Amino acid sequence: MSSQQRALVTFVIDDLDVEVPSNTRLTDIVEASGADITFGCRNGTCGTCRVRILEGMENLSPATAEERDFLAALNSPSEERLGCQFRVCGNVVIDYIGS
Amino acid sequence: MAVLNLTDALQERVLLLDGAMGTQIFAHRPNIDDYGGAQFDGCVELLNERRSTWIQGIHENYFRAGADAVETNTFGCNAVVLAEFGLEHRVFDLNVQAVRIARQVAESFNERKWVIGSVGPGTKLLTLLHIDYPTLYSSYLEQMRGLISGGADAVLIETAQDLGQIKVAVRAARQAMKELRKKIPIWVQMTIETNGTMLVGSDVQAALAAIEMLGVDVIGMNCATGPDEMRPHLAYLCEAAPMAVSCLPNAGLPENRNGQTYYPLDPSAFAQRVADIGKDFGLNILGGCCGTTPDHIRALADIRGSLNAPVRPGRYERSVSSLYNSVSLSLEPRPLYVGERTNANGSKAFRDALAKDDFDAMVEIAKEQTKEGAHILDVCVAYVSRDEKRDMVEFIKRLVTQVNIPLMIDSTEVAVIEAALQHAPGKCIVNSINFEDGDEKPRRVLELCKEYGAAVVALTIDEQGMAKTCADKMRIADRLYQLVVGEFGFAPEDLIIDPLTFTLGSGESEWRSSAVETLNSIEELQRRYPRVRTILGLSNVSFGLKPWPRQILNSLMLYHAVQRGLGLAILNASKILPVARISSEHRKLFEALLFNDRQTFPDPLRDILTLFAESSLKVAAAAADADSPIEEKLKNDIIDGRKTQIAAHALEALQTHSALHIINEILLDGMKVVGERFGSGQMQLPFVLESAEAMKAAVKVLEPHIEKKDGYRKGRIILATVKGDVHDIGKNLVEIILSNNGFEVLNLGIKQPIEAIVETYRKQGADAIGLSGLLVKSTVIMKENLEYMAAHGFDTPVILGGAALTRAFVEKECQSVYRGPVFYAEDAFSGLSLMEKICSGGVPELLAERHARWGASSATGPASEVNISSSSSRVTPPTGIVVKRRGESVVALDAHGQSSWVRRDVVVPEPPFWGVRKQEHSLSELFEYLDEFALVRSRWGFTQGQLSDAEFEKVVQEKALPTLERLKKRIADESLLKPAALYGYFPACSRNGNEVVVYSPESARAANAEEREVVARFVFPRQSAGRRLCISDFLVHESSGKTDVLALQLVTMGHVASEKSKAEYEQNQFSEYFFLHGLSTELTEAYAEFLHAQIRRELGIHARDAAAKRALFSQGYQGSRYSFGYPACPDMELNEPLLRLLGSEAIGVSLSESHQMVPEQSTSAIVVHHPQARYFAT
Repeated sequence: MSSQQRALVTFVIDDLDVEVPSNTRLTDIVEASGADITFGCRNGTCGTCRVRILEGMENLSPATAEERDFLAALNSPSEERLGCQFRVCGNVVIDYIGS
Repeated sequence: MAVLNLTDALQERVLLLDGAMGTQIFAHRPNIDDYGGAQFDGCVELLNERRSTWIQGIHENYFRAGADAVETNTFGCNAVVLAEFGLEHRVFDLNVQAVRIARQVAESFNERKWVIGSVGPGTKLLTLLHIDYPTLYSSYLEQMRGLISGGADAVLIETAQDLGQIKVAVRAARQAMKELRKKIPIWVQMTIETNGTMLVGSDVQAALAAIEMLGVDVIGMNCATGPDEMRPHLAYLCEAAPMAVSCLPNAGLPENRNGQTYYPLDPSAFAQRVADIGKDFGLNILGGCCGTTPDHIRALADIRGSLNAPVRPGRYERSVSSLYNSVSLSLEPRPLYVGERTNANGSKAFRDALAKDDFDAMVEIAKEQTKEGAHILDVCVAYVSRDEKRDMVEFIKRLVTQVNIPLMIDSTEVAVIEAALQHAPGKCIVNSINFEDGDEKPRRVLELCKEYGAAVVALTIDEQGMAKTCADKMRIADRLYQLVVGEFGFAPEDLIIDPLTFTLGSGESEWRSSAVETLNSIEELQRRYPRVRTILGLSNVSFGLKPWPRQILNSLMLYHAVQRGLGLAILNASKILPVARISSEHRKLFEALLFNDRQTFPDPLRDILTLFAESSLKVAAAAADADSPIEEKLKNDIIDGRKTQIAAHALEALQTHSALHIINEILLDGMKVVGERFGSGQMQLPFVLESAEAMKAAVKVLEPHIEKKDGYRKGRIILATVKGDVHDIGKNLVEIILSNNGFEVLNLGIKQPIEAIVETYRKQGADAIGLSGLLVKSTVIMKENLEYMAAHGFDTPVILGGAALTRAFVEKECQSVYRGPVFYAEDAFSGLSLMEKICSGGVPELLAERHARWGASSATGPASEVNISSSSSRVTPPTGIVVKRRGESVVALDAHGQSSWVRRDVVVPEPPFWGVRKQEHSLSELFEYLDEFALVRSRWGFTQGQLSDAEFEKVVQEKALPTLERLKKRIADESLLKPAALYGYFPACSRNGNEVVVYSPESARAANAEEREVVARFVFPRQSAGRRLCISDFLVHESSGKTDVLALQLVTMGHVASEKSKAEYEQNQFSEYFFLHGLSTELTEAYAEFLHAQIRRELGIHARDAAAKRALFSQGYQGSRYSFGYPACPDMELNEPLLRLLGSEAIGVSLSESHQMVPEQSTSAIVVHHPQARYFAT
């Protein structure tokens, strides 16, 4: 995928649209835009950053083993992800579960 | 009324026993005349004869108070105690008289009343070797004969302080019944001291495991403490024990008042507490011990109607036990490791020690195995020309108090087995029985197992010999099951079948499929008898091979046997490899041998012998073979973290290489591989630390041989944790990695002001300065430090590391204020690679890489343009992130300046008390709340990386979880953690938008805000966008006229943990340091989580607690727990009022000048109950 490609990230809770280069970490997007998502450990073991992907799950980088195991142990529904663990590669609509 | 026997009565109702005997006797103030002479002064057993009316009266008072049964005045009526008065010949008749007195009183009532023969512990402890077995046994035997002959309805072995003593007494009771042809119930009551164990150290689980096997009718507790202290132990017994449970507490914990023993609980308070235990857990027998009176029994009689005779669930998980604790036979992950080195046939070191009668050295070998992770110890002292029985007794006597894991008695001699069982107080396993000479000998051994309460290993051998095929193994297993479970009535779990394994190292065709047959039989055994356990003497499979191939084959055999259901394995735990460490080629080859698969390898054994005969590179790639060149051995010692042998190899290598060459060319080459494997995710951090320990051990022996001390140093770095930050671990990991990769590290420690760092640099010089810190605030300090250094003209390269940093912040914002290069090290290895480049002229290359990433915004800042005004840690965004649209619907702030997103109609719960309480909890309670996922993956760094799921699972099962189990034990054994907590409830309100005011507990009811006394104020930051939250929003506003409840909590693990892990670090035990630090830190979190759960229960808001712990740890509850320093409340200074309100000195917690808690393993929080309260970032 070319680095020129851009993606649109919509944060539901903030009513916020952010455009980012493809393959950007969600953590970077949140920090840059001030979106209302809280990160805890940032290595996929605390669950503070759990988000619900309302649209565009296919546009996210696949789950790391840590993320997969963590969500499996929680019996999380398939639309949930750990915000600290993925990169955005295409348009996506994100809701923060912590709220 | 129908005449009931005692056992039937116990089925029907809760039975009431009497209270204290001694207290009542001494109320008569007996004098020398009463005893019949000065030489008998204090012999209360003699009063049965001389003052029988007193004893009658006492029994009568208890019966009248409502007791169903009384205990005879025979507590010390045995030969050992009576010998102190020269009355050992009176044991029998004094017991008979005592029973008759009670019997006579009992029969004067219209209702059925019973007489229980009291058997006290005597004055000498068997397990502590105060007395020998035969003397104690005959002392009890005579007393039992008297009690049974006199007509007691049951014997009660009470106030028991020693499991060994209980076993002797039960055996004596059975023998007396056999002689007198009369069978009565045997009841056992142990005494658990305030420290939570019996006098000799057994916990209640260990006691149940040992006592349950003796087949007694009642298990219970009496003496030492009051009902409150007994409660947790009774909770366990009531849940686990399959037999009736009794509870005879003292009238509270005895106090000393003016030199008199005083028992604080009056009859109704006493009865209420006993009744509560009965209601909560279900008790079968109630009564009292020291300090209780007929009034206490009357009070119990009054509440007895409210209790039902419980049906015992008996959820006891079958276990074996040592003197101190128990080990479940169903422990997961399987297998249970049975240490094989305390075996004269298996270990030369052990045999040599035995030959020298050096029992202390033998005990040391036993202790080593517990450290290596053995769960059970196989003990075999059979050695030609020695007295096996004597050796066994001498060894066991020492083992039982010095080793805390259960024993497996390994002998073929019946007399040796019996002697061993007499001296082991816990529940042992006897190894073994078989049908080689028919079933007479196994029957004799099984009799002993029954008599002394032991599980048994049974081998699939019969009159035709050792079973080779799965079918033969199963045929003999059926016969074993029929005998042991069917005929002798053992619980199936107590039968451990060994289906035998034979060597594959001989190559004989007869044995080629023997491992397959064994593995199949394990699977079939588990299918046919799911409750029966299986065991293998693992190392037999590789007999005849060289050490390294033996390890591979043993490890693979174990792996497959466990997959098939193996429960126990006799092995040397330190010689088992995680399967992930076996290369895939080796695995294929050895599995071909194991499974007799000749498709890929026509002769796998020949290939293995050839492979390991040569010193080929292939072998070295997996690990050092005995035959490989010394250079390969050393390198592989590093890669595999073998610190025990590396010193010898290093010295050997000195014969051909200089010390410098060994370090720079061989050892560092190994460390390079370690770094690469870590970087590519093939190796986890704990294994890296083991490699570093090996490196350290090698360098230590090589250093004296280096002529020029600095000759092998690649460069020097000054490392420090910045001012105001106490976090050590990250910096220390960097030191470990750098110093073991050839760099000199000046580790200045924690809380280092920049002045001190600069001073060191001026004096000693360095190639770079490394700043570390965990806190968000530390990122600000780092930038300030750079500004200081810039202002003072420095341009030395600086490396920053720490959890709160981001690459962008370091490479752009921090770089912008400093003239020299500033680098970001995301972990210790990237720190290493930075140092490699910095010290070899690679700085321009690093800066070029960075320029490519960020463009001009990462340029180094001119020293003259110091920007001192802004020290925000807000990260400059990576390029290309553009906010396209910020919605109109921004959450508005209300009239109080608070988020309108937060609901105001929340019901304020009522706390159970106002003010502060101190609590102490046991580690076992806290382990329940341990987040193992976070511990293993985050604190300990076991991440999956490039490993497959199966490989990673292996690492978790074979390294991480066993480490956790071992440390749990170590923490308990060495009392490393001392958990203590303070928590409290305070009335509180929000005020002026972002402020929380806390009032004194006395102000809770004051409606008018002016009447309340403000004891603390907390001001919190507010989100600038999004929901615009602030913690204050979750408390009712002062103007409402109401108050809210704010809970505060503080937990600590005490000082020992920090001190101990520091000591490990200083002794170069890097991995142990790292494990211990991580576990104690995660346990601190567990404690906070535990206390928070308690607070939710007390506030009555626990209905929304997630059932699964995993979900609970992810905020699966109502409300939130905020700790200072985290995003919603980053200001650490607020710890000061928090600790003041709680009176933190009561549990030894104080604040450093930077407002962090000391000891490090402490954490504080404020707890709000508002359902919308969650973590959020400001």
